[in-house]
Amino acid sequence: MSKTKTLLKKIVALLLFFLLSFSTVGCRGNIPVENNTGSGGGNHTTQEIDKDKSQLYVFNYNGGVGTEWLYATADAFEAKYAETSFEEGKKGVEIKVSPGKSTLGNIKGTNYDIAFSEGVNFHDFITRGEFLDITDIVTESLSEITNGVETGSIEDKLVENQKYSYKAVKGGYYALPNYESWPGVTYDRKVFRDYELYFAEGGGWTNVDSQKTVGPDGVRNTSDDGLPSSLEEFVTLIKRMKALNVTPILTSGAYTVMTNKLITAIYSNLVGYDEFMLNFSYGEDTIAKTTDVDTSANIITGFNSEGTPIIEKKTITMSNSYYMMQDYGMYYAYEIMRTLIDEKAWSKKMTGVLSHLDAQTEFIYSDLENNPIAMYVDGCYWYNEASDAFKRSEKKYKEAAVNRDFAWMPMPVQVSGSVTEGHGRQPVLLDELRTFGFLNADLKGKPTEKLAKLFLQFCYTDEMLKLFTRTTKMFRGVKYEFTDSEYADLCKYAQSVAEIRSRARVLYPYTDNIIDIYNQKHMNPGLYDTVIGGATENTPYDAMKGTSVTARQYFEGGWISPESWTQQYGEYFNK
Amino acid sequence: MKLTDKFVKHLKKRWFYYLMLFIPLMQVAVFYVYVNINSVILSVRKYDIFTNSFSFAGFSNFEKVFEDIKTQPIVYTAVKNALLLFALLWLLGFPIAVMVAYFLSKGPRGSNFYQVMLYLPSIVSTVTFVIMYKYFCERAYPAIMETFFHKEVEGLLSNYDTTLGTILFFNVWTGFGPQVIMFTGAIKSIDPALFDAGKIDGVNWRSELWHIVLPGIYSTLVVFIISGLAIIFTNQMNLFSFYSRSAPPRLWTMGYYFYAEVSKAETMADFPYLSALGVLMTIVIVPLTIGLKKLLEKVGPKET
Repeated sequence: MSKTKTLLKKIVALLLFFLLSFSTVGCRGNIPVENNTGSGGGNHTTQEIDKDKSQLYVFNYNGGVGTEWLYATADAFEAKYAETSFEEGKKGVEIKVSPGKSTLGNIKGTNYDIAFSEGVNFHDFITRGEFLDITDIVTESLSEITNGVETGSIEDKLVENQKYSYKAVKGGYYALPNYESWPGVTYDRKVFRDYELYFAEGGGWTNVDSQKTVGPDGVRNTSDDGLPSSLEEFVTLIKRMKALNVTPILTSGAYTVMTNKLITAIYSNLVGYDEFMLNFSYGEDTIAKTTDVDTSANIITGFNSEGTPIIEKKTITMSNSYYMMQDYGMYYAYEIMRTLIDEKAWSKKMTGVLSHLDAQTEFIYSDLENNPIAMYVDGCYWYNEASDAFKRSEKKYKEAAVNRDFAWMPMPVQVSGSVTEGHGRQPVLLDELRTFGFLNADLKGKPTEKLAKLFLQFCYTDEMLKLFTRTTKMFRGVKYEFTDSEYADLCKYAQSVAEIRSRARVLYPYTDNIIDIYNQKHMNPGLYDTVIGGATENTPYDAMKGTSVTARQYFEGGWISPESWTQQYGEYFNK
Repeated sequence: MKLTDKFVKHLKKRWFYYLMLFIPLMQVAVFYVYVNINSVILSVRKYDIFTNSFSFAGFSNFEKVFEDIKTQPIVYTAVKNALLLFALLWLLGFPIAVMVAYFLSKGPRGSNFYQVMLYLPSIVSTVTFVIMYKYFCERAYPAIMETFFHKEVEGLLSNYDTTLGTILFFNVWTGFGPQVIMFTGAIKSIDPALFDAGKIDGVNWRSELWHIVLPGIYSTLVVFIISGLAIIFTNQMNLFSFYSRSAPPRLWTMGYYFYAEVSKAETMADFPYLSALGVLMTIVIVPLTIGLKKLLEKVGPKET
């Protein structure tokens, strides 16, 4: 073989070698402004930078919440500080956004200055030194950044258990809540009106507001009037829908764990805020210890000969929290799942290939195509996630498909009977996806530290919080409300979300309890683990569909023995 | 010549090969050697979230694993499914693959086409193939049953009773192509004189398969069986492609169990336990694999 040929072979091989090396570098997940999966990002997603301005690199988990809100916030921030210098020789800011489909496992060592992510165990991130301490911007007045419009701080917008849990490990603030993600049901109010699916006061059905029952909150003239206030009424409503050829309920068939969102919504509303919170406080967080909050739960200790649950009040502590797997709310939520399956309430379209996006499309199109589906189970982010499906439906069905009358459905608050006026309960909205906004610890001492903090603070001003809700139809996990005129400008779905939130109690599932700190819960799957006939299950729908598995079997299979509990968590009892 | 001069001369001559070896060696060093050593170390440590530090934990992680094996049915289910998959691949997949390879090696009409078709599931990406398979099971199968048999049935994956069987079938089926190709190649490498001698002696196809083909491809067969056993606790049965992170627990294998547990690991505190479980599985599977290899070598045909 000639020398030239050998040399040529070596060159080709080396080229391939370097190509391989480059592709390895391409695996690095922290190069900013990559994978622009969002739309409308404009300059925020281009690689080019303006050297005369300071740059801020922001990662955003581009799930159901999307990234449009961040582009809008970035635009506002850039405009506000166009004439401000944050670094010597530079004026103004450029915010570069990286929308990503993966949640962040770390931020330190990446090029991101700020991140808004999901599935964040903030205790762990804080301990590992990933997050920058942001106590100063959380506790200081927002007066300066809002030109005096707001006088309080971001801390004032947090509820007590948020404050305690965020500061539990290191004593300061390191992260702020991103978006609230409530599991539950959206209902089509037009279908409810057209088919008279509202309960009428004194019996029967109606679509006239003045004739409706008071609903789960027990207050007349609120949005839940006429909706089922008990599980018994919920089943009655399902039966009526079936009789009227309305498909009662739908969710993804490919990801059946989404049916657990219905279980969670029913369970949490049935037992109420305090009792559901015991799943995270174990009856012994600071709030439980320092206030007169009720730390008892309604526990099923067995079943009588007729199969009726025997319920006892138990005070929950760390050492007996195994009782929470015997909570009556969990049992009755399983009962509803069994009934929905028996009544064939779930849509037939829920095959193993119906993704959540497909299911959203089915729901949106159902009434437009005269095959109405009354309710849809998902997270409250679904409406934003389905924006493409809405656009397609508007193109096809014009006016009839614009600003659909979908609303977030309040869940029943008692097992049987009907709630009477003045005897209802506040809705519970569980924020289940552990989403947070935080800064990279590497920013400490850098010229952009102040800028990054300012941007994060800016995101939590009332003006930007409302912009967030207008864009996403969701709420950030802090306190803020819309004025009447602002409310009127929202779409119908966003109005319903804002309306229910204004009279609900949002449950942020974090506490400063030692078990919770070390073992932050995976809500779904995870909360509904059970063993039936030696097989493990985590989704009641899967276990019950096509089988004779009863709610009681599913429920009892999940019980934890005191010995097992102590073995698993005993080390924390006296810490 | 001095030793250093020799080394420099050697390096000048071979630099290209060493450069080429660099990436694979680094890959092995980082993703195999380091990861495994770290797993062994983690298995005897525990993590404290408040101090962000690890400390020696003795065998407490292993004790917890043993306790869970006794009390957590999911571990039993995962081991059972892993064994079931291996048994199916071994008892059903291999014999059929050998038979098909044998007949294809005879060069029947269209044998090349069959080989391509059989290999197709391996060429097409798993995710794509899973999607097509899901659509067949969930849309086509109920439609066929309704159209031709007037029976309203659930999809094979949605039906509680058929889910596991449908996924097991998929794994046997998609593993079938590579096996057939490998076995066909192995059969073709057998000395044709042996087949000719068999023909002269008047052996039928069964005798030819048993006395000539099987001994001839035995070493290939052993490689498949041994490698199948070695990955028994890491094979996730394509569950991630079917269900992403939400496969029903009754379908889990040990491979998926590890995947699911690691992916939902919340803090560094979760990893020592998982490392202990991994180390334990290695302790179980290594002697089994070596033992089976020795056994198969012992009972297999010997060269004379």
